[in-house]
Amino acid sequence: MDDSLLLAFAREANTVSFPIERVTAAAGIIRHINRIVADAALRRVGVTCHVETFDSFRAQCAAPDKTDAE
Amino acid sequence: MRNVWQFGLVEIAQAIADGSITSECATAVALDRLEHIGARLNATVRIERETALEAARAADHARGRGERRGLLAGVPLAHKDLFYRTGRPALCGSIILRGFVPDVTATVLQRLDAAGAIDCGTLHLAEFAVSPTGFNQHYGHGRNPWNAEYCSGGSSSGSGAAVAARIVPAALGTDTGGSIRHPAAMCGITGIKPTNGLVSNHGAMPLVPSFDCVGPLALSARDAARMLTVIAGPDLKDGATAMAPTRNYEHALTGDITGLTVAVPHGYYRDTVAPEVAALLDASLDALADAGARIVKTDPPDMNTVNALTLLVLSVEAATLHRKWLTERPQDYADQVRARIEPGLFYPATRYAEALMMRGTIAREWIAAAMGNADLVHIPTLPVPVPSIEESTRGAPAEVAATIGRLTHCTRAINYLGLPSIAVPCGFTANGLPSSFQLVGRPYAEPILLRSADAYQRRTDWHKRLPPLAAEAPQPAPAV
Repeated sequence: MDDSLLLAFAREANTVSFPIERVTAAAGIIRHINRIVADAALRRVGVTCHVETFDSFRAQCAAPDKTDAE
Repeated sequence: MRNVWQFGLVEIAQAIADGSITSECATAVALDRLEHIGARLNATVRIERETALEAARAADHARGRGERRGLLAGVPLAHKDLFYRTGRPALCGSIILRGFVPDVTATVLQRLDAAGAIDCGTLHLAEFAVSPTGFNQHYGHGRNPWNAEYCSGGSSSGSGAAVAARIVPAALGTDTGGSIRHPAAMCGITGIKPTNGLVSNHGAMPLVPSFDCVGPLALSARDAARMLTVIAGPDLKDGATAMAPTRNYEHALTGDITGLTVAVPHGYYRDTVAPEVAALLDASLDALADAGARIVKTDPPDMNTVNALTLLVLSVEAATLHRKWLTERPQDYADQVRARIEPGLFYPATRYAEALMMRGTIAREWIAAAMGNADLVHIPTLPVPVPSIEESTRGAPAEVAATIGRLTHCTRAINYLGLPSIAVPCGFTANGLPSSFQLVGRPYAEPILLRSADAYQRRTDWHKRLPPLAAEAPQPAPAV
């Protein structure tokens, strides 16, 4: 599915009546962000089979820090 | 001899506690300043005069009876107009929510009530909390107490202006991409964005639930610590709050940061900094070093990826929450606000899921690169001087977008990373407006951040500077 088809599909799926020029204006940044995230995900999640959510990361940081005065 | 309006939060709480001043007097002063100075800064949305004075008199009577008192007994406060209180309208900076009357009270307001604080009213914000400048096309833009022609910062614009102008000694804000830190920085006060999940979001208008954080804006790190002590902690009404133990953050303020290491990431965080801002940042590092901290240089990871992940989650979650109104009432959004939310409707669900699944890993990588073995990171809050309202609203859309983008350069990704950050005033640029640095820590490092900011503020007086407007206004308050 190419980018324009993807945007058209998303536009339809969200049933929001945007003037087409608004979609076109936003399309460049949407494509740019989409590609960076897709590439990053392929490099990380796809090859490691490991998901570290923020909650799991946060939980590991919950131990009192040595520099905490309390 | 100082007037009560010049007192910080802890100071005024102590003065009420020891009987130097009554809550009724302090509250009356705050209400008058909300009405007069707040109006000049477009900081005030709603004043609850009668209920506030009634609560203040009750606090004074309780003290007279020797009843056990909370940490904020009798202290007048006001908050961003997106914290719900049952039966009180909440506009959230929008015209879409005209007529909305919440049937819940925000957990943070309940905790402030329980601590004895007096709720004097609600404060200005950017439309639906979407703007780092305080932009609000419907109700007027937030105005800076240091110069009303300049941005107050946003989206917690009224909170920043009201605290800096000594209308109230502290106020709650929310931070989704910098909305506590921007107004704190632009108005010359202290603001802390806690670790995601430390403070309940229940009853606060959602914008980006994965990123939204409630936190205080105050005159000093000590005052912010007092506020955080009251509002932090698990909440069964917000499943995202962490089961972290409650604590008194003021106990961390020892004034001693000997042995702490402060990392200063260069590259992304320094390349675009204006020279006059860089000089103030360097001076703040010197002060931290004088206080005993060790300063080390680091390099951040690839911020293009972190920023893309951040922007995607921001826009998708905001668009999800706003889809109904975007469909039914698109004309009721300012163009600038709608343009920032709409793109979220066009990302594939798999991209959004990937962005969330990578969050912990990316946070770990950012910490490893930017912080290394250090205890905290020192970066700019704003890499440029505070812009004027004219600069942030006029011109071609691309120019406005560029101005806004520069303001969020150092703040927005911190919300994706979920890390705590405190904005601390560190001087003034040539335009006479404040400048600020951020200290960022690992999850739950709030005690270290507050201790470091407090140690800095014991050696500097930037946080004590008074905007001329605050002192010019007629003051009916008695000296104490």
